[in-house]
This record gives sequence, C-alpha cells and structure tokens, in this order.
Amino acid sequence: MNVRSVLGSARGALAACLVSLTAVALPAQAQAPRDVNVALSFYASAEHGGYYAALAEGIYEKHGLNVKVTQVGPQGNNMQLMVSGRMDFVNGWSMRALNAVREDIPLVSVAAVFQRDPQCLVHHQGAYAKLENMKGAPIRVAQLARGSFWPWLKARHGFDDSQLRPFDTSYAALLQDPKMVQQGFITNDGFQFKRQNLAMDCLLLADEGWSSYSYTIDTTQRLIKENPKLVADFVKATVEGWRAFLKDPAPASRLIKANNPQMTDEQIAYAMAQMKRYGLVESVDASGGRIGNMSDARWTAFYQEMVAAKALPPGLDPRKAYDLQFVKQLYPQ
Amino acid sequence: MDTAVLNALNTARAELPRCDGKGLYHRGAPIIQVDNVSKRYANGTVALERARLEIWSGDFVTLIGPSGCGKSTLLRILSGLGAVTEGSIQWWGETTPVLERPDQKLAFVFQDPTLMPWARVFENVALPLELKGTLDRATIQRKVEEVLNLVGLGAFQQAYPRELSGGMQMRVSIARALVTEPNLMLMDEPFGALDEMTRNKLNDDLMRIQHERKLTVVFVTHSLHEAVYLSSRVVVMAARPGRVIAEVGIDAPFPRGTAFRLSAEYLQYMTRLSAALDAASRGEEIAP
Amino acid sequence: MKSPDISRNAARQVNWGSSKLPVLAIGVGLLAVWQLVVVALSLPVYVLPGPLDVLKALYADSDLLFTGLLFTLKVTVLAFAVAVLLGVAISFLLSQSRLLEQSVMPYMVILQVTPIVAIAPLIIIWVSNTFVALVTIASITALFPIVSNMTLGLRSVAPNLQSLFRIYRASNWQTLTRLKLKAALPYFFAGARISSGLALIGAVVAEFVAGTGGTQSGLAYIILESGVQLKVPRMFASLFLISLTGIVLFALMVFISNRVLGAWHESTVKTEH
Repeated sequence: MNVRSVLGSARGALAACLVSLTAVALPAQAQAPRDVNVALSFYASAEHGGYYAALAEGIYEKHGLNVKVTQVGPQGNNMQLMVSGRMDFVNGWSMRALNAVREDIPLVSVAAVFQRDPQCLVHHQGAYAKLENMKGAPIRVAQLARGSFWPWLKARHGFDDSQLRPFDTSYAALLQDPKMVQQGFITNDGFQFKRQNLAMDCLLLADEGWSSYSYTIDTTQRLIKENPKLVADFVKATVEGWRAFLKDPAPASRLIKANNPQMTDEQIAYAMAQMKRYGLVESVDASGGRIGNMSDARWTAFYQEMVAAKALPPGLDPRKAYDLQFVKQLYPQ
Repeated sequence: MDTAVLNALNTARAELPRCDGKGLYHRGAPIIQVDNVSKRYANGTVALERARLEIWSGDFVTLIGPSGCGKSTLLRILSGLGAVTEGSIQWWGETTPVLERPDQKLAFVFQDPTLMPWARVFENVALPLELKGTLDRATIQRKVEEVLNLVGLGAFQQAYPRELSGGMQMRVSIARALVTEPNLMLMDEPFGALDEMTRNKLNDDLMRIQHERKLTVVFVTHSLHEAVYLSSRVVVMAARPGRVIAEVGIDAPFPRGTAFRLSAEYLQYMTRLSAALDAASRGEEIAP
Repeated sequence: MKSPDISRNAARQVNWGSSKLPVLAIGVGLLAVWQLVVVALSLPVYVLPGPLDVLKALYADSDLLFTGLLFTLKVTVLAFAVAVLLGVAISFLLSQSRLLEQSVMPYMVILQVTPIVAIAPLIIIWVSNTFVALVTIASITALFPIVSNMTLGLRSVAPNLQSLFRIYRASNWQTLTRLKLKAALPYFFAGARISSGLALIGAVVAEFVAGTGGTQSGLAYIILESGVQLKVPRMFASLFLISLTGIVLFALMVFISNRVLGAWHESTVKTEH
C-alpha cells in the first residue's frame, strides 16, 4: 500500500460519506415544517373537529405543517385577519366568499366541510309544522343573516322585514313568546334546550332549499399563487383530520376542551350525532367519502338564488369566489 | 353745609335718644326689644348668652367686638333669619317673627354685595319690589332710579355686577336695601372689603341717607373708627360666650365730618372704646 | 351722574375665531398622514381605507348615510331632551333633602357605571317598540351628568342670596325660578355638554345591540351591515358621520351655553393683563 492509493481510498470514502450525508440531509430539509395560521369562526367546538383531530393525531405534522389554530370571539373578524396577512386560512361560508367577489377582496374558498348549512330556525315545539307557517311570525336573526338567508327567506318563502325583532344571543325573548322564531344551529341549540328540559324544535334551512356551503376553508389568492403546495397539503391534511374525527372524536375532543373550557364531551357527542343525522358533512358533493368537495354547479346555483333574492348584484363571476383545484387533486374523477 | 340745614339736622338729632355712657335715656317704646336671648349650637358652642338690647327709632347702633363675640349672630337674630334658643325678641311690640309679617319693612345688607350675577343692576335693585308683586312696572322703574341716584349709580342701570368695582357693587346692594323704603336697616360689615377712601365716602353717604330717610340702622363692624364716626350708640361685645359687655353713647351732633374725626371728643370716645374692646378681648366685664 | 370709578371691561366671550385655524390645520395634517400611510403601505381598501376612499363612499352612499344620520340624530336629540327633563326633575327632588340625595345618589352612580351594553338587551326585551327602546337606552346613558351637576348647582346657591330671598318673603316658587334655577344654570350647561355626547353614544350602542333593519336604521346599523357585506369604506364613512355628529353637538352646547351665560359668568370671560 502506497501513499497515493491511501489518499485515493480516503477521497473515495469521503465522497461516499458526502453522498450518503446529502441523501440523508435532503429529505430532512424537504420535511422542515411550514408554519400555518388558522382562524376559526367562533370558539372551538365539534364543528371544527377536523382541525383539532389533525392536530391531535399528528396529521398536520405528517404533512410537514406546523399549524396553529386560533379561536375567534363573537365579534372577531377573521376575514380581516386573513387579508391583512395574520392568518393563512379561515373558516367561511358561501355568502361571504361571494360578497368578497363583489368588493374585490381576494378571498377564495378551497374546500367546503359542511355540505349543508347547520343554520336552522328555533321555535317552540309544535308551534310551526312547516316553514310557510312562519310567515308573519316575529323572528330574531343576527346581522349576518340579514345579508344571507334572510333575503332568501323573503324572496323564496314570502317572509317580510316587518317580522324582524332585535336580536341578541340569549334565549330570553324566544322563551317568553310562544310565537317567536330565532335563528339557531342544528348542532348546538338543541343540546342547550334538552339540558334545561325545554321543548323546542329547529327547522333546518338546508331542508327547505337553502344551498349554502358552511365551514368552508378560505384562503387568499396570493397564498394559492405563491404556495399552492402548502394549500394542497393543508386541505389534504384537514380532510384526513375530519375522517379521523368522524371515526373517533376522542383525541380531538381533548384538544377542543383544552382550548375551550366551556365545551363538554356531551356537547361534542350531540353535535356529531346531529351532523350524522342530518347528513351535514358526508352528503351532496361529499357523498362517497369525498369530504370537503365542492362543485361549480352548486356555487353557480347558489349565486343565482342570491341574485334572485336581491342579496347580490347580477353580473359577478362566482368562479372568483372559489378554487376547485385542490379538491380535484383529492378527488380526481 | 349751611346753617339752616345744620340747625334742622340738629333739631332732628335732638329727637334721638340721648345717652351718656352710664345709662340710657329713652323716649317712647323701643322698636326692637331683645330680652335675655341666648343662642346655642348643637355642638355646644354658645354664640350668644343672655343678650339684652333695645333699639329705638332713629338709632344708629353699632355692634362691635372681637371674632366670635356673636355680633353677626345677633344681627341675624334681629333680622329674623336666625333662630333663638332661649329668650324672646319683639319687633314693634309684637313677638310674631318679623319675617312672617307681610308688611314688614326690614332690609339687610350683607358682608358681600350679594348681587345676582346673572341680572343687571336694575333687576338686582328691583328684586324686592318684584318679589312683592304689587307694584306696576312704571312705579318700580321710578323707585329703582331714585335709589340708584341716591347712591350715585344712576348711569349704571344696565351694567352687570361683574362689570362694577367692589365699592360700586356695595352701593348697589345698599340701593337695593333702600328700594322698599325700610324703616329698619341691618348691615353686617358692609364696608369691610373696601379700601379706606371708598369706605370713608360710603360712610358719609350712609350717614346722609340715614338722615334723609330717618332710618334706624343696626351696624356691625370691626372698625372702631367707623363705629365712632357713624353711630349714636356703640354696643361692645365679648366672646366665649358671646355677650354684650358695654354700651357707649356717642353724644356728638350730626352731621359729622372730618372735623369730628379730628376733634378731642372723637379721641376720647376712641380711647374709651379701645379700652372696652381690649377688655372684651381679654374676656373681662366692664362696669357700666 | 358721572362715576369716577373705573369699571371693568364689559364681558367678552371667549373668542373661538382665533382657534379655528390651528384646529383645522391639525385636522388636515392628520388626514394627510393617514392618506400617506395608506398609500405608502399599499393597504387595500378593505383593510384600511384612506380618507379619499371614505370620501368616495360618503358621496356614493350619500342617500343611505343621510337617512341613517337622520335616524340616529332623531334618537339622540329625543334622548337628550328626555335626559334633560328627567334629570332636572330628579335633581329638584334630590336638592330638597340631603337624606334623599345621599340615599338615591349611589343608585344613580351604579346606573352610570354599569356598561350600557349589559343593560340594553334587557330594555329591548321589556320595551316592545324598538324606537322607544333605543331612546330609553340612550336617555339612561345621558342621564347621570345632568342629575349630578344640576343637584350640585341647586345646592350651590350662595347662602346670602338665599337669606336675601327669605328676608323679602319670597315664595318657594319665586325662589326656585328667580334664584335657584338661574344660579344652577352654569352647572346645568356643564352637565349638558357631556350629556349630549353621551346621548349619541347611547343611541349608537343601543342600535348595535338592537340592530333591527328595515326603515328604522341609523348609522350604527349601517356600520354593522357594511361589516357583514365587507364594505369597509362605507363602514368608515358611517363612523366619520357619527364623530362629526358628536363634534357638532358639543359645539352647539358650547354655543348655547356661551349665549346664555356669556354676559355674566366667569367661564366666558377672556383673561386680560
């Protein structure tokens, strides 16, 4: 063995080391977690189960995402948080995305978790058999509703502004007046009433032709353009989270309760039962396990309904409100 | 002042009760009779103890004494504003409180001008007449102008109190006191806040008005000069408890002027009263 | 009759004219800075509109905003009137007896410090007519300064003046109208200035809570609605009108107060050297 051959082997060994080191290092670099900020539309609850399941069960981690979920109070404006750059994804609903189109705000829905809106009309049990019977009844709806399902109720079902009463989130006025109708959520109010032994019913708007998506995953045009992979990974991971949550809510529930101390297992269970009973998540475009799916047809039809209800001007391009590429990646056919 | 007027004034003065410092010679019934009046406050302070005083028509009586001797208290009692704890007081021979008599003709001049700052001089002076409500506009106008001219402020009817000097405001206050043509005027250190020159001028004005209108005046002051100059009788009071310790008649003819201020008589009265006041300050009694 | 006395100068009211220029200059300066910031940071109109965007919205939505302004003004003015009448009446009662005043005042203070947002929903439940509910809420908000200041004023009548009125055997009514009310006027206006602004705040808060739409909607409702519809410039335009109303109301109260008190009260004298 001479010096040259020793040096030659050393060089070879060194090169081999470098190659294997690089082979190890590169994949690790490709998997460095990316920061993602998400804002919910209210306090943590079962309706946000997918996010928390993905967090609790390491699904986001697996996709290389370091996700931080922020709850938002009743007056919180998660749209502003997102368009000002503080948030990457927010919870939304169809009407807001279409409003954004009208105001040239670059908000885009990339997936829809709830195929049917949990919005319902709470009333005393037996007071109203059909939606039509509520015409002329006193009704309490929030400001948000004035811009979404209320104009639709007026146009499609003959309701009128004279029915409107001042709204606040308590049930006091509702309980005092047997004729009163108040907006509610099919996944929530029933639980409160059952606990207090009150006989109330809730009429689901989605059963009466209301076709809005709910709990959509919204983001900005900029993020889609600059980092489509991030968006795709986030949507994929969140949908997986929802599957996990619907199978077994336990890990997510722990996280939900940790973030929202007011929440209980019973309430989560109730919400999930209602989701299943009314087919809020796994139905319509999401049938066949295609959670989060959206369609052109649905968006267009909803936009037309809102134009007819004079809640939106005609002549807008509803396609600016959503982007199907990510759900198409998940569900190719 | 010419002799005729002088004589007239002296004659008028002759009808006033004469006094010699030892006792009082009086004529007719007193218009105010204060009989062993005491005033005690809830916290135990004795503002007045068994005060006795008589005021006759035409008197110019000055109450003088150290702080806390009860002179202002006594004056308020004379006006009917102050309640009495013990003893009695009669006005014009009756014990009915004077403020309850619809025809009472009493006026009070406070230490400060006590004008309504939001009203002009005219309204301020007209107030007593307006409160009575029985006179017509023209009569009120006439009476107000009359008294304002009397105090030398005829040109200031439309001024606000804020626009007047301290002396002028005081004169407005006196004018208001005179507008109801009272027969009894009670004055609580009215010139205390004014400078000496204004004070002397107002002293002379007051003397003149008192004689023109035949007023009875009860006057409270800290100033011995003022007391001797103006009064027909000086009542010296002492403190703790508040009480009357001496009454000294000022037996000098009216009208009084600078001559009186420089006279030996004046000096004598000043000396005597000074001594009385000293004794009062020390809490001693003085033999009558 | 000539008077040798040197009387003080006639009352001169505080001269607002001399301060108009600096006030406007500061305002224009702030607006310029705002516009610069928006342009420099390329802030989109739905995050922070600049003053020009707000102006555009004011012009474009002028019908809606004007109707809203009128409604809010109606509620405010009515609430202020109620607060004044009720407040003065209550202060009369309270000024009659120390015991009464001391027993009632703590409850008035409680009413004052309890946030109106907490009370408003209750009132809306009890009062069926929305407009009346709004006026009620705004009146409650505006009530305290009037009661507090006026009671103080009625008690602050110079004791010698009160004695004077007693000497001249003034009736209770005469003492009230000629003396007490007049003496309490400066205090009243001090309270009224604050109260007018509070009436506006109360009207706006009430509407935020009540939020009925239709023909009965004021500026606060427009803010809510614009928020939901993501029309941010209109939101700001509405906000601007509310501020403007507050300023105008205050200025109006100062003007009236100067006119009434001008001739004689210390607060309107220009200090001289």
